[in-house]
Amino acid sequence: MKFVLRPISEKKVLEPTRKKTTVEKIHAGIVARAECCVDHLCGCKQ
Amino acid sequence: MKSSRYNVWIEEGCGSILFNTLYGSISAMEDGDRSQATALLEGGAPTGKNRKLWEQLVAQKHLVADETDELAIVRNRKLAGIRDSNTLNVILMPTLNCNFQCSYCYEVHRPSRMAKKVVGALKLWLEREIPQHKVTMLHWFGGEPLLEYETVLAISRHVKGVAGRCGTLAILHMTTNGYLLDVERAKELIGAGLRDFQITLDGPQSKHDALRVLRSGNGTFERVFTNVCMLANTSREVRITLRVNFNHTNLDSIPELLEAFPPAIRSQLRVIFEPIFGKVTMSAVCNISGSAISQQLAKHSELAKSLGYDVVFGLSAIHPGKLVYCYAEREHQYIVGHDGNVYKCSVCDFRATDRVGRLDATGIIHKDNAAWSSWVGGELFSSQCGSCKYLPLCMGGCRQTRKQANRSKECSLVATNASYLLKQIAFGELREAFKQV
Repeated sequence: MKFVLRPISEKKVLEPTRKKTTVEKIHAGIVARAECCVDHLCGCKQ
Repeated sequence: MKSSRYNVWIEEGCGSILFNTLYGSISAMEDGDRSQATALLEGGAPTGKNRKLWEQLVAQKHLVADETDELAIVRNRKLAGIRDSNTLNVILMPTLNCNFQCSYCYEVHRPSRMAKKVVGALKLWLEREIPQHKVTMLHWFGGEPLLEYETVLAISRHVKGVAGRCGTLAILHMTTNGYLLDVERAKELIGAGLRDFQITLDGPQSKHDALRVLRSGNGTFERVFTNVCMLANTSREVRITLRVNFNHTNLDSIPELLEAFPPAIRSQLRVIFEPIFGKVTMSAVCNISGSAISQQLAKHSELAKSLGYDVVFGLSAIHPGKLVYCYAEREHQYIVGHDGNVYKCSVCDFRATDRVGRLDATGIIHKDNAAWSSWVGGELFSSQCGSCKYLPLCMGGCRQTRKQANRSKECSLVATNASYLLKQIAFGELREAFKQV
C-alpha cells in the first residue's frame, strides 16, 4: 500500500477558527481554498 | 478498531484507491492488498502476514478507534465554521442593474443605485465591524458593480483604510463582467486594495457572443477579452478567476478560448468551469450526461494546467476540512444591497421575502431573528446526510435548497459554484478526480 496523501489533523482543520490563530494562518487557508466558490465567494451568477 | 465511515473506494487502472473524505487521506494499492484491506476494514483481525497493512490502514485513519464518533467531528467542524468570528465576510451590491443581458442570468435587473445615506451608513458599520475580526473579506457583486464605480472606489478605499488603521487584513474581490474596465480604473481599483477579480468568458468569440451580450444585443467578447489581458498586465499581483459557464452549446469550444490568452498572463488566471442551470433549453445537465460533463471537465482542466493556467485539479483539488457548505451559513457574513437591505444568499431576486435584516442610518444592522436563524441555526444537516460518505466534503449542501418545502430529504449538493471535487461527486464521476493519483 502506498501513502499518497496523509490524514490531516483536526487541529489544522479548525486552525482558522481558533481564537489565538494568526492573520497569516487564516489567509493561507483562504488562498489554499480559493478554488471553491461556495466557501470563498467568487460570485454566484447562476 | 473499526472502519472509518468515510472511506471511499475508487477503482483506477490496475489498482484501487482508498480515499477518506473526513481526513483527506489517500492510499493506493494493488489488487492483492485491496482484498486484504477490505477484510481488515470489515473487522478481520490482523495476523502476522497482514499486520503491516493493518498498521498502514490505522496510520491513514482508514481504521479508527472504536470509540471515535466521526459524525460528531463533522458536526463540530460545521459549528466552528458557523460561529467563526475571525473572518468577516461582506458582499456589497451597489446596484442590481446590469449593462449585460446574458441569456442564462437568473437575476432580475432593475435600475437601482446605492444612495449617499446608505454609503454613509455602510461606512459607519464597517468602521465598527472591521476591528472586531482578524480578516475582512469584501466582495463586490451585483448587478454589475462597475456601473457604480465611484461608490465601489470610495468604499474600497474606506475598508482598506479602516483595516490598515486597526492592523487587520482586508481582502477585496470583485465579480464583474469586465466590460467597463479601462487602464485608469484598473490602476485606481488596484490602488484601493482590489487584487482579486472574477470575469466570465463563455468560450471563444462565436460562443461567448451568443450567450453574453449587451442589452442592445451586441457581443461583448472582444472588449472583455482585451480588458482581462489589460488588467493582468497592469499588476502582476492581480489574480483573475476566469469563469467559463458552459452548456451543450459551448463545452467543446473551451480549448479554443484557453489557447487564445497570451502565455505571459496565464499564471494569473485561475480557470473555473461552471454548468449553466435554469431553463431546460439552456441547462447543461438537461442536455449533457453527467459522465460526459465530468470527463470534459477533467480534459479541459488538464489542458488548462498544461498551458500554464492556475487550475485546481487532481491532488490539488483535495482539500479536506471544509467547515460549511457556503458562506451564507456563517454568522459573520452579510450581503448588503443598494438600499441597505441585508441578505444571506446571493442567488435570489433580492425581494423583501429574501431579506434577513436592515442597515439603519446610524450604521447598525437590525437582524430579523427568525429569518437570520433559518440560515445559521436549526439542523446542521438533513436526515440523509448522516449516512452519506461525502458529507465531510460537502458539509450538508445548499441551505437555500434545503429550506425549500419538501426538499428536506433530498440531497442539496449543487454542482455549480462548487469545488472541482464536489462537481465530480455531483456528476457521479469521482473517479475522474483521481486519474492523476
